[in-house]
Formats: sequence, structure tokens, C-alpha cells
Amino acid sequence: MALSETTSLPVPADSVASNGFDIVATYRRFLQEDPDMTMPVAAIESLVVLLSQTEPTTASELMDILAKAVAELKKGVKNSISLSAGCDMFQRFVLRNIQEYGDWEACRRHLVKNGGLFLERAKASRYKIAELGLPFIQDDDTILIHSHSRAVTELLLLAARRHIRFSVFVTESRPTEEGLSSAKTLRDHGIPVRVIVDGAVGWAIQKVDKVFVGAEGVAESGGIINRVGTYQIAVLAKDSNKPLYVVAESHKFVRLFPLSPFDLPDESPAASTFTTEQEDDEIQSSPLLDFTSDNLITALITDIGVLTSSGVSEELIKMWYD
Amino acid sequence: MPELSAKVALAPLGTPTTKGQQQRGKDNNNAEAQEAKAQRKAGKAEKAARRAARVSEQGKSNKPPPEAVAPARVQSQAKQGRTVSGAGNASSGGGGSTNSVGNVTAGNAISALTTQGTAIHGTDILDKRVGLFKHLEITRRSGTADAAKDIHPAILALTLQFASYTVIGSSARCRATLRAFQTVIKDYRTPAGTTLSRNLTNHLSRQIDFLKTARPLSITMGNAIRWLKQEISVVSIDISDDQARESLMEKIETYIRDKIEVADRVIVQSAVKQISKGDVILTFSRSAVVEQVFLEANLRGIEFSVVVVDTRPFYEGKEMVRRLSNAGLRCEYVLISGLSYVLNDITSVFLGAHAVLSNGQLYSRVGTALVAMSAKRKNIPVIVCCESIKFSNRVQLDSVTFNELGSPDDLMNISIDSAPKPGPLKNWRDLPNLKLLNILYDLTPPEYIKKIVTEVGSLPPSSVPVIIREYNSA
Amino acid sequence: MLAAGAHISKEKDLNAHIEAFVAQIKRRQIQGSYNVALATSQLLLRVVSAARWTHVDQLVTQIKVLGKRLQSAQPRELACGNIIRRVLALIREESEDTNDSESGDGAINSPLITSMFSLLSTNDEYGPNRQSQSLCDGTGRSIKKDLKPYIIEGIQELIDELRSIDESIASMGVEMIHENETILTPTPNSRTVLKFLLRTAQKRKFTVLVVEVFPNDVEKTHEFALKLAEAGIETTVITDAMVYSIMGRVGKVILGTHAVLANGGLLASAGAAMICQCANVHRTPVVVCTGLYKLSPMYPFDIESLIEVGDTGKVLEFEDGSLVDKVNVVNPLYDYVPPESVDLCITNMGGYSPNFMYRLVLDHYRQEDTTL
Repeated sequence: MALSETTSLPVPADSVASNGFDIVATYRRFLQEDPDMTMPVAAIESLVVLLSQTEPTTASELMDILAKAVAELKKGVKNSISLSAGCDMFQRFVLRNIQEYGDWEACRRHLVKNGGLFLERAKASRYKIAELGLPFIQDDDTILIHSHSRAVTELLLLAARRHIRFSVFVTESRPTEEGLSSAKTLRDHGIPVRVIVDGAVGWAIQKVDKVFVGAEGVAESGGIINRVGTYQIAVLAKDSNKPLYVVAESHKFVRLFPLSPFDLPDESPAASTFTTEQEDDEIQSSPLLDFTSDNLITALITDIGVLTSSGVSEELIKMWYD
Repeated sequence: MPELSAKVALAPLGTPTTKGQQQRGKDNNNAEAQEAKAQRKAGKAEKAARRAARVSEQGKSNKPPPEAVAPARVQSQAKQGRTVSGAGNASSGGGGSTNSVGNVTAGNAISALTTQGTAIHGTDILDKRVGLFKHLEITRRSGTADAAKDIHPAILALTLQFASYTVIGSSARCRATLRAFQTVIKDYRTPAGTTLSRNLTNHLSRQIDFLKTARPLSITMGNAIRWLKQEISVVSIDISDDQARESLMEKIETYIRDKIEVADRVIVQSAVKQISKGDVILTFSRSAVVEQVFLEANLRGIEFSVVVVDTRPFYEGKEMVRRLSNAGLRCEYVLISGLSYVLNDITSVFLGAHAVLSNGQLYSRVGTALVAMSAKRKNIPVIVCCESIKFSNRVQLDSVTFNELGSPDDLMNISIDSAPKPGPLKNWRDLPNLKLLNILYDLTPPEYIKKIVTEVGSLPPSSVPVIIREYNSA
Repeated sequence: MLAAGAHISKEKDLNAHIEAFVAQIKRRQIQGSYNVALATSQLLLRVVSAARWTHVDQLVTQIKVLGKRLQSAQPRELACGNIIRRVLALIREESEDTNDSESGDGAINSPLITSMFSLLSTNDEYGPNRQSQSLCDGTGRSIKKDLKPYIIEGIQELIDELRSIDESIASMGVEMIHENETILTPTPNSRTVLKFLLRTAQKRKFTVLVVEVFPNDVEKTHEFALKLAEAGIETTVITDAMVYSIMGRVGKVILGTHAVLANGGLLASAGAAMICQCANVHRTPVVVCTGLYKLSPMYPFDIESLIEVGDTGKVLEFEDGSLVDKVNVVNPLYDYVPPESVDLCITNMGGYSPNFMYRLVLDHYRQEDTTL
């Protein structure tokens, strides 16, 4: 991974930001260039690039620049929950360091210098999750996964490498059909897979031993925001008393406390309107995310350990507590 | 009026039966359908008369014996727990001479009441009954010396068999009772100045009262007795006593055959379809009909295994597991404390019943509710096999209001084999604060039960009253 | 010379002592998690007193090796490993304290550092005087200050804690039980529960339903009931099967446990899972009384392997030979009770929701010691 390059990324010509830097474009490019990069990490990397190109004169100016960029990023990106986890953590980290050491310049230098390291760490944390989650997978297990999650895939691949024999139901996950790419990856590594349509989860659940899902964001309550369909799978799993594990990196913990999917930023307002005429893009405008509350989740497998819902809350409290 | 309501009630029933037949397709069991039809006809013909009889019978049986209520009140007025009682059991009430074990005479009770507050000596006068269950009587007799002269020897013998739990299980008890009644009727001679239809009922009532001193009547016995009394009351005065006795004995024979034996066969034929290769089926304690289902499945060459969960103090499951394993079935045996451990691989749960109540509650051997609850939690289907003679039109919501008490001394024994071995609790009667509770039944709520297999078809618990109205109105 | 000789003989003594201890737990001569915990901590006290080390890491390794040995001697007695891990954490803490006071860096112990920052922070030199904190880097400095008396003091405190555990748990009884309440206990072999009830009975009048949990420990169970009754508590013994029928009249279910796992789940005597579930169905609160030494950092990945199976002769008599041969008899000793079945854990450190037990695990054990 080219670490130092991140600081010398060319600034796009059509920059619109105050200081001539387009954070949204940078963020998009990061995601495009590396399919393994998660949204929060891309957000963090973009903020690092921003820091490298600005010369604030005071600590409060530094915080100000960050706050503006974050606001712009959240506004400019459609699905902003996951990236806001990264932004929040980044801002908190800078603030904490400034408070603790007073030396904001050193902190900026540190962040700029280690830009690429974060990406590496984020990837490493997925390996760590896989190691921690490995004992959850046993021989002859039938596992259900939903859509595509890098952390879940990593875990399953590790289990296959360790010669655990198991098979996997993968949901198609309409409308993105990301499940198909999960299925391909797993099959490429010799894991037997059966792709089912989302509606077939209720049919399959009796044969399933455990469910693994990823998360876009892990809310304060320990509930998760994830690809639409997660909630109904979780309800079915609960009804059949099958464990449901969330596999997610701790940088996806986000300071949100939704009670229902309608508390999330509304990304597809059309989905909750009703029409008498058929619309062409109806399926495409259907919602992409839903919210699964903590009582449906058996445990969260994260890089900082196997947590209960209150573990998530504790980490977030610690991050925001002054 | 009764005629009218009978017709109305009949209408909705025909539909589900035929539907069920269609679904079952060609391999549908003819015996089952014919059985059902035959019973429907019989039910229709005599419904009105039976209904009238039932009303009067109900009035009698539902009324609690007054002497059982009164002492409870005395106790609650006195200091709770410490108080002396037993008066309820002691007074000779409707049950005739109820002078059973552990009871005190009324005189004793009164004297004890007056000495309350001072030290209480002796074991008899300590109230060892558990507060919640004080409304239930312990009626286990140990002998028949006090029996009245007109109690038939067959009844005496049966009473002792009931009291010692030698004859156990509601179908078995019902059958044994009816057989004993056959003997009683055979030996019955109508006294001068009265008629058979009037006097035989009284005579039988005295026999029944004596039977009750061993254990309360089972629901099946209650249903059978109601039917028999009805039959007696409609015996024509034109026929001779000999003919009447002959006809009654014949009717009892048919009743046993139809309501228990044929019913069981039909249930077995239907329930065995629920068992398929590779199944691991859990059952609790011992039910005669469930046992027959397993044996039939085994005869048909289905490879499956059975987990028998058992409980103290009767260990009825031991007999079950013995019979099944002798037939070559693969069996596992565990006590109810190990239930969670064995539940993981179970594909379905088969349970028997003592009774199924009108509100869909299953009244069965204590522990059944725990098994059904645990299975439900794991999403394992719970199937109850039960003859319609076990359906009762009583309603009940918990296991406390109505139950049967076993001897508390059964809990003192800590051995698992036939030779009792008293453990640390052998002197439990000396400790005023210590009580042992031994109830025999519990109530399983309908939401734990997926399906009830009866001789008139399979039904959800909510449909129990339909069957009661149609088939069991005797 | 003389001192060295004395040391060698002492070491021999100690080795013999360890041998004897291992043999005892192997043969289950020390029974019950409390006794094992107490004996283990006393053994560690001796080991640490006798041990010589030039670096703390050596002591840690030594104790880990001992821990492994004890654990393999009796793999299902989790209390033993828990105590070892507590002492290891204690040693690490003492040595870190020493390092901290020397390097003057308090940041690592600042209580509210979230692990989420691990993505961004590094342990390099951007903070003014931030130093790497690994044990190995403390070369030379940690030896200067003799840790031994501190560690011994720590273990002594642990032993004191163990001795007062039942007392501190029992003192919470009045907060749990109200006047005229009916309590049901499915673990009548628990001394913690016995003390809890006896102590509470001094201040409250209540009824206890004792579930037999037949067939294991039935004599203990009956003695438990006798002790309660003798202390003037209204006591009723019921069989396991009767729990459902009477649960509707129960105010609280109070149970003891064999172990508490990192997710808040329990390893309690057989029958406990179904009884707790029954309480859940009836919305009856389930309260667990447990000493902290029963808290294990293990996560129940494979539940079946955690459950010990006992003598089948207690379920079906061997005289019934024809049956015993044909039938597979099972006698599990424990049940796994999932955390969602438990409403409250009362420990000697206070009451906690089972959801929060992970925090106590993190407080008392180090992650690097989870596998010995």
C-alpha cells in the first residue's frame, strides 16, 4: 500500500470547498480506488488529506476546518451513516489530543504522517475480528449470511482456511444483489454456498445453525444499521431461537440512537409515498438500509472483543465523555 | 330446545372432517372416517337426553364438598402456617367414611386449636399441607376395613390398586373402572319395591364414592360414569332385569372398545405419519397411546429414536423405555433436570394427556408443561395424542385451583430403584416449617401445543370445545 | 551457602505441595468452586513467596505454566483458572504501576480511553513523553523496586475477598426479598444461596420453594431444606417437574451458579436452564448470587463441551441390567443458562445486569491471559 502518496493526492480541478479542496470527491476516489476500503476509513483518509493541505494557525481553526469538511461530506454523500462514524471518531480524536497535550500541531503532524497506516489498521482489524470470531464457526455448521460484508467474508474465509467444514446460505439481497458477489467470493475459495432470494429466509431458517451479518453502523444501543433485509432475518432468527452475530469493526460504532429505520437519515423519501400509477424506478428507489435493534442480536464480534450491546454503548460513552 | 342446538352445532363439524379426508388423499384411513361417522350418528340420536343428564350431573360434580372449604377458612383466621387442621379430611362427608392416613378426628383438631401457642407435640397435629394447595384433599387410603357392606369386592380391589398406583394412567383407570362396573352390574339384584333404572344408579354411586377415597376420579372416569348413568336411566322398564343387565354390560363392552381401543388404533394410524426416518422424538413420562404410536412406527420399519424424559416420584417413563427398547427401538433416558441437555437434536415432541380442557389447556402428568415450554422455545413441534374421551368441558387457568395431591412422603425417598431409601428428610414431619409438596398434574397452555391427534382427526387446541359439543356430550 | 540450601529445600517442599494439590483436584478431593478458588489462591501465595525472578515476565510465565497444569488436571473447574488469571492481572498491574510512576506517564491509566481510538493512535513519540508500555521494555527498572511484597499483599487481599464473599452477597438480601415473598431456588446445593437466605431471614419473613434438582446432590438438597426450616423459614420441597405449575405464585427465582461466563451466561446445575426459562415465561425475576471468582473470561462458543456428564447410575439403577445395556442414559451435571434468562447478578462487588458482566471481566482479567 502506498502510504505516503495519500498526502500528495492531486486536488481535483472542480473543487468547491472554501480552501479549494473537494472532500466529497476525495472520499469517492478513495472508495473507488480500493474496494476493500470501508466508508468510515475513506472518510478518515479524506480528512487526513485535508489536514495535509491546510495550515491552520490555531487549534480552534483546525477544529473548525474539520467540522466544515465533515458537514460537507455528510451532506454530499447519500449514505452517510457509516462515514459519519469515521468522521466523528476522527474529530473526537483530534479534540482529545489537543485537550490532553495542548500540542495540536504535533497531533496534525502525526495524523498526516501516518495517513496510510489507518487503512492498513482497518484491514488488520478485520483479520483480528476473524480470529476472534473463529470459535463461533464449527464443523457441519450451516450459516446464513446476508448481502455482502467484508468482515463476514473475511471470517468465513479464515474458517475455511482453518479447515472447518461448513456451508452457507447467502441471500440475494435485493435490490443491490450484493449477495451474489459474496457467494462468488466464497465459492471461489471452495466454500459450498446456496444463494436464496430474500423471501426464502423463513424457509431456510430451520436448517440454519447461526446467522452472521455485517453492519454499516453500530448504534449506541448496540443495534445495527445494515443492508435492508437484516431486520427481518433477525426477527426470524429470534423466532427460531438461532443466534445472530454481528461482525463489525469498532470504527463503525456511531453515535446514533435510532428506534426505527425512520429515525435514520431518509435516503429514499420516495419509498414511503404511495402512488396509484406504476413508477419505473420503484424497485431502485426502495430503501437500502434498515435498523435491527439490540434485543435481536446475540453478540457483536468486533476487533475489540466479543461484545454485548452494553459494550458498544460503553465504548461510545468513553469516546464522548469529557 | 336441546334438539335445535344439537343440529346447529352439528353443521360446522361436518365440513372440517370432509376437508381433512380430502387432504389425506387416497391413503386415507377408512377406519378413522367410519369411526367418526358412526359416532356422529350415535351422538346425534341421543344427544338431547344426554345433555339433560349432563346438566344435572355437572351441578353435582362441580360443587366443592362444603367441608373442604370450611377448615381452610378456620386456618386462615388462625396464625398461618403453624396452625392445626385436618378437620376437612376428618369429617365424614359426601365421600362416605374418609378416614385416611394422616388425618385427625374433629375432636383432635378442636383440642389442638385450643392449645395453640403452646408447644405442639406429636406429628399428627402439625399441618403439613402446603398453603396454596390446602383446598385439595389427600385421599389415599391404605385399607378397606372400613368399607360398607354393599361395596362390591371388585371395587374394593380396584380401590386399592388405584391407591397404590398399581393401575395408573387415565385410560387404564377408565377401562379398569368400567370392567369393575361390569362385574358390579352382573352381580347386582334390584331390591324389592324399586326399579333397576332407579336403584342401580344409587348403588353405583356408592361404589364410585368408595373409589374416590383412593384417588379423585380421572376425567375419563368422570366422562364414562356420566355416560353409564345416562344409559341406566334410559333402560326401559318393560324389559327384565336380566335383559337390562345383559344389555348394560354389552354397552359397556362397546364403550370400552369404541372410546378407548378403536380410538387408540385410529390415533396410532394417524400419528405414526408424523414420524419419519432419522427423527429424534422426545416424550415425557409414559402415555399408553404414545407408546403404541412409537411401536407402530417401529413395526413399519421407520428408523428413528426416542428420548424418554422422566420424573420423580413415579418414574413411569422407565416402563415406557423398557417396552420401547425391548421392541428394538433406540432409546435415550434422562430425568427432567437434564431436559435442556437433550433438547438440541429433537425433531418433535409427543405427549400424552390426562385430560384436555375446554379452553385448550392440557392437563397431564406434572412436568409436561416444562417439556412443552422448552420445546416451544426451541421451535420444536409438540404433538399431543389423546382420545376424545379425555376431553373435559371444565376450564382452568392454572395448576393450583384443581389438582391431585400425592403423598408428600414420596419425596422423602432418595432412591431411584424399587426399594425406598429415606434421605435426610425422613423426620420432616417434626419440623413445623418444612413441607413437601407432591402434586400429580400440571396444566400446559395451548400456545405450546401444535396439534392434538384424536380419533376424530387432528385439531388445534382451540378446537377442543367443538369436539366436546359434538362427540363427548355424554 | 546456607541460605541457598534452605532455598532448595523450600523449593522441594513447594513442588511436593503443588503435586499434592494437582492430585487433589484431579481426584475431586477439593470440591465446589469456592473451595477450589480458596485453595488455588493459597497455593499461589506460597508459590509467589517462594518464587525468585529477575524480571516480572519470568514470574508471569511461571504462574501461567502452573495455571495450565491445574487447568488440565480439572478442565471443568473454571474457578481455578479464574484465580490464576486474577493473580496474573495483579502482577501485571503492580509492575505497570511501578513503570508508570517512574516514567511519569499517567495517560495509559486514564480510565476513559476508548479502544476505538486504536485505529488512529500510535505509541510513537508524538505525545511529549509518551513511552511504550510493554512489560518487556521495562528492562532494569522494574527489578529495582521489589514487587514481591505488593503481589503478596494483593493475593492476601484476594483471599480475604474470597472469605468475605458470602457475607457481602448475603447483605444484599434485604434489597431483593420483601416481606411475605415466595422465593424459588433451583440450586439447593449452593452455599452462597443458603447464606443469602439465612441472613435475609433475620430481617424478612418469606417462603422458600426448594427444587430438588434430582438426581445429583439430592442429599445436599434435602439438607439445605432442613437448614432453612430449622432457621424458621417456611420451606417447601418440590420436585423439578412441579416448577411450571407453581411458578405463577413465585416472587423471585434465586439461584447459585457454577460459573458466570463472559457474556453473562451461566453454568449452573442441571435443570436451571429450564427453570429460568419458566421464570421468564411467567415474568418472574431471576437473580443469580455469585462470587466474583466464578466469573470466567470464557465465551460459551461450544456449550456442549462445557457441560459435564455425571454418573448414569444415579438416573437408572445398574441392577436393571437388561435396560441399562439397551438404553442410552444421560445425566448432565450442568446447564447453560443464556444471559437473556437472567435478570440480575448479585456479586460481592454489587448487583449487575448480566449484560454488564463483560466489564467485570475486563476489569479483573487481562485479555492476554484468557488462554493460559
